[in-house]
Amino acid sequence: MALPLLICTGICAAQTPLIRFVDEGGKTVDEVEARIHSGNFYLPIDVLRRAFDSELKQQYTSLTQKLVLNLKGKQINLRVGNSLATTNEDDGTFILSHPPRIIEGKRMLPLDFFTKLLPQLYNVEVFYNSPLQTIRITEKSANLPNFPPSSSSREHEEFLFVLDPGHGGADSGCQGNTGALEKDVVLDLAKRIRRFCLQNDIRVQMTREADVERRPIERVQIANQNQGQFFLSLHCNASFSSNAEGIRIYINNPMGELRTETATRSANQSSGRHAIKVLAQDDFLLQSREFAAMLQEQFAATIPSSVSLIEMPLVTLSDVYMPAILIEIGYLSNAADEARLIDAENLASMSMAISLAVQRYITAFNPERGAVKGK
Amino acid sequence: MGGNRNSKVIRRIAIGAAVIIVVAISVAMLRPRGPEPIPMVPKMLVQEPSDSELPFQEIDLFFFDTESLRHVREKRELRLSLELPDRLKQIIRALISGSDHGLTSTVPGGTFLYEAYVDAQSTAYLDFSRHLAEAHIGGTAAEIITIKSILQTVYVNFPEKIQSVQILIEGQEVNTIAGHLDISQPLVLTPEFQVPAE
Repeated sequence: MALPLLICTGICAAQTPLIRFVDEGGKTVDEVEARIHSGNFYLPIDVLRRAFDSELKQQYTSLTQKLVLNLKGKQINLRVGNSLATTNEDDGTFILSHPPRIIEGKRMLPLDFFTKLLPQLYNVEVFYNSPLQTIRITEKSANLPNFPPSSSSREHEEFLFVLDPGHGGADSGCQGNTGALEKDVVLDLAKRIRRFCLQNDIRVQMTREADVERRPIERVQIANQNQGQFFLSLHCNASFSSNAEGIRIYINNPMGELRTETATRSANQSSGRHAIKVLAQDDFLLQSREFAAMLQEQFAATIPSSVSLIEMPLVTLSDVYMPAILIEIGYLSNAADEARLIDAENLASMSMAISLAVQRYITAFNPERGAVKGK
Repeated sequence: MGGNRNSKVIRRIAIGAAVIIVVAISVAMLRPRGPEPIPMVPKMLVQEPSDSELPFQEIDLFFFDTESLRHVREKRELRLSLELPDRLKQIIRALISGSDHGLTSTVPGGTFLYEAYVDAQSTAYLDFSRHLAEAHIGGTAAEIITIKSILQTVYVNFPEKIQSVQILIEGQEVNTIAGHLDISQPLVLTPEFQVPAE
């Protein structure tokens, strides 16, 4: 049974997008203004009363900044400025990508409270459409698995591979000594990868197809809204030394070589009975590592460059709700790497290696799809 | 007649000169301004406070060695303030001012540290000028090198006094400095930042 209300966020002024509530047929039921803080969407808590639970109760203690929501029979404990969320039941501790905030005097929740936390706490699915700025909340079908969302209602659909050529527009990224620009190199490679994938019946969604600027949140929205099943961000590296060279594969891990405070605190608490879940990427760390390993093997077979694997907290990858990696395909600050990165033959080899890794990944993690054409 | 003609000529010259001056001033005012110059860190700010009563103390700064591709310790002596935030500010400003021994600075030229704070949870907040992001060379590797240089310098000079570091730019929390590494939250100082003494 579908819930009576859906949330729809309409495109409006840059800093105060209009949020519309619509029913399942897309009809607007209610509207509210959101806010953008540090590039992230925030919705007022009252949205929940109209869209999710008319009996919502909230209690805020300004001294401790503690915020308690009584929502559909559960007590959700939050704190303004803190990304941790707990409940009065044995649901575990969750980490929102961004903390609740008070903006212009209103208590606001980050977008992922709706898109990621609600589906984990309640029997609902939440669909976010970035271009239309819509969020749809529907009740889960009983026969669908609860977790992870990537294998829910769309498990029978075609695999969607999201390709993210970094930078673009006024943001050129790094620059080589001969003038090669990161934004151009990665767009060229992305188009080659897409061509190869399409020839092999792999659907591809690119976050940009031309020399245009995309903010990190826009890239994330394109990936999440299209319900991509793998996100690959392409970049060129740079170093303070012209000696640094090779390919680097980065996986988002807030407990990696550098550690965020929230993730460290959560890990220290995890010895208790509550399991800790870092929303978004934490769910997909193993799959991301698997893909990285497959890619390393493909590169080793075709590319004469060293390939290393590094885990770090990464800004774009942290919010995409699917397995994801970032590849630095070479150093533009290194003469030999730059020559390779503007060489069509090398780019063709690289695009083939990446595409073959994608095929292997699909076969490994989407057995229903089976071997893809050309495999 | 002749005097009249002379005065007319003089008047025309004066008017012409005035027009030229007005046009020149207007052009100068309307001319598009070039990129705003990047201010350099005044050396005197690195040395504050100037209280000669304070003893010199040895500090460790971490720059980048382009041959070994590693961070390398450089020792320096400063008259350090007694206050923790001020000491932190002095040391990070010394890091920004660059190496005395030819090592590579990992903080972009022109970057200025406005202020340093340490809260009750031992999180240090370092408020840099926008140049830290805008003048950065880009690339995930370079971004990591920059952040590690700052974190390592803080860790080694303030063992147990500072647990984590939040980078601010122009007083604001930012997601990243060059588009890759997530610095929206404080980054934790771990023992891995302790390098063996050379």
